[in-house]
Parts: sequence; structure tokens; C-alpha cells
Amino acid sequence: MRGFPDDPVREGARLRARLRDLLDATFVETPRSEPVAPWVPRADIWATPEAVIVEVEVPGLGADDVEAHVEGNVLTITGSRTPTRDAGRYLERQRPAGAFSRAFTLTQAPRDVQARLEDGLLTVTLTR
Amino acid sequence: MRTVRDLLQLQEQFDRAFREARAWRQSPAAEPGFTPETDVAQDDRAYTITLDLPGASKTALKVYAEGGALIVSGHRERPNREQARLVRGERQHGRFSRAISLPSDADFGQVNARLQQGVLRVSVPRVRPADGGRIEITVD
Repeated sequence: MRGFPDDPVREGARLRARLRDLLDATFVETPRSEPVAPWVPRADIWATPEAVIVEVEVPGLGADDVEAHVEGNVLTITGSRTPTRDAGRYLERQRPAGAFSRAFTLTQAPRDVQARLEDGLLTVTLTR
Repeated sequence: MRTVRDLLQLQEQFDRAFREARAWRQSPAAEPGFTPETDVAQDDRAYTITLDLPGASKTALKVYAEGGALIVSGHRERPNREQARLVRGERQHGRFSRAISLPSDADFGQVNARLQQGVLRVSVPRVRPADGGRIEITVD
């Protein structure tokens, strides 16, 4: 059991000051206003005997913001996300933005290509 | 005497909270499946928290406030594709959890959350006195 502090009021103020410092340290303003890292959307690739399925994470993008293009045996997915312009300042900024382009080489040119965009996930099905 | 006891109790609570936080960080069970990329913005009226959660469903998502922090947790599973073989796996699945501590003027009673196109946007208003209202300042 801890003893009584000499002066409870001062102790209270000290505690409050410590808490304030802690909060200040947590919310140090990030000097940059633009996202740092270039955007390389994460992708999963699935294979079945009939098709190759490519799933690409494109959160926040609508059908007009992303494009899937096949030329020969290369699937190229391009798109761009405008950095969110929130009013005020950022306390934390991790979400990437800007333009991206990813190319996937297939073993052979697909016979058919279908793309679907749902919940920020682009699914491209390439029929062998 | 009431104040003294309250202060001592508060101090105890702080000590315990920090001890527990340390223990939690060190435990392997605390390892989440992934950590969604997050933006936190602040203006005069609100804090806006934005998380990238592509492929996550509303039903597998929990948003709540606890101890001055906004907590977003949930899980996202790899789709079950019968007969398909995963050739390359970059996407992260499993459990996720993010706690965003906000300053004391965050009004958690008025939180607004929306999941759209795989992006979760949560708005937490800041408490401020009504225009022309008076704020009493204590002189130390």
C-alpha cells in the first residue's frame, strides 16, 4: 500500500500533467501532408484447371477509377486514388494514395476475361 | 478525504493499466492477423478515422469506444475457393484490431461509422461550448 502523497492537490496536478504529456506524445503532428509510400495494391492469385483468378485490393475505388487490361498473356491493372483531403490536420497518415500499375504474366493468353469490383476488391477471372 | 482516496485510486488504475498494456504487448495471443492502414484527421468539429478494409463485411466488424479510445476490430477470411490453388498470397487475413486513442474532447456518444467500397470512415465529434457560451477558468 502506497503512502499518502504529501499534497494531494499537487499530486493530482502532477498526474494530470503526466497524462497531458502522454497524450501530447501520442499525437505529435506528422509534418507531411501527403502520403509517403507509393501504392502497390496487394494481390492474391488463384489457379484452377479452367481459370486463373486475380484478386487485387483497391479500397475506396469505384468502377471508373480502376482498369483491367489484357494484352497477349499479360494482365495489367491500373488505377488511382485521390488522397483524402480531410479538413484540419492529420494526427496519423498511413493509407497510400496516387496512381498504381501492376502487371501479371500468365502462362498463356486467356480465352475470356471477366472483372468484378466489390467492397474495394477487384476480382479478375481469366479463362484458360 | 474523499479526494485523496480518489486520487490514490486513480494512480493505482494508471499503474495497473500500464502494467497490463505491457503484458498484453508481450503476449503472443495479442498478435493480430493484420493491421489495417489508418488515417486520423482532426479539425475544429471532429476527429475522422479512415481505415482500409477491402473485402471486409459489415457483419464481421466491431466499432466501439472504450477508455477514451475508438476501437475497430474484426476478422476477414480468405475466400473459400473450392478446387482452386493459391499461387500467390499477398493479401492479409485473420483478425485485426486497432485502438485509436483520442483526446478528452472526443464525444463518443455521437459517433458515426460507414463502410463503403472497402473503406471504413468513422467520425467522432469534438465537444465544444455553444457559441457565446462561457467557460470558467480555474486560477491555479
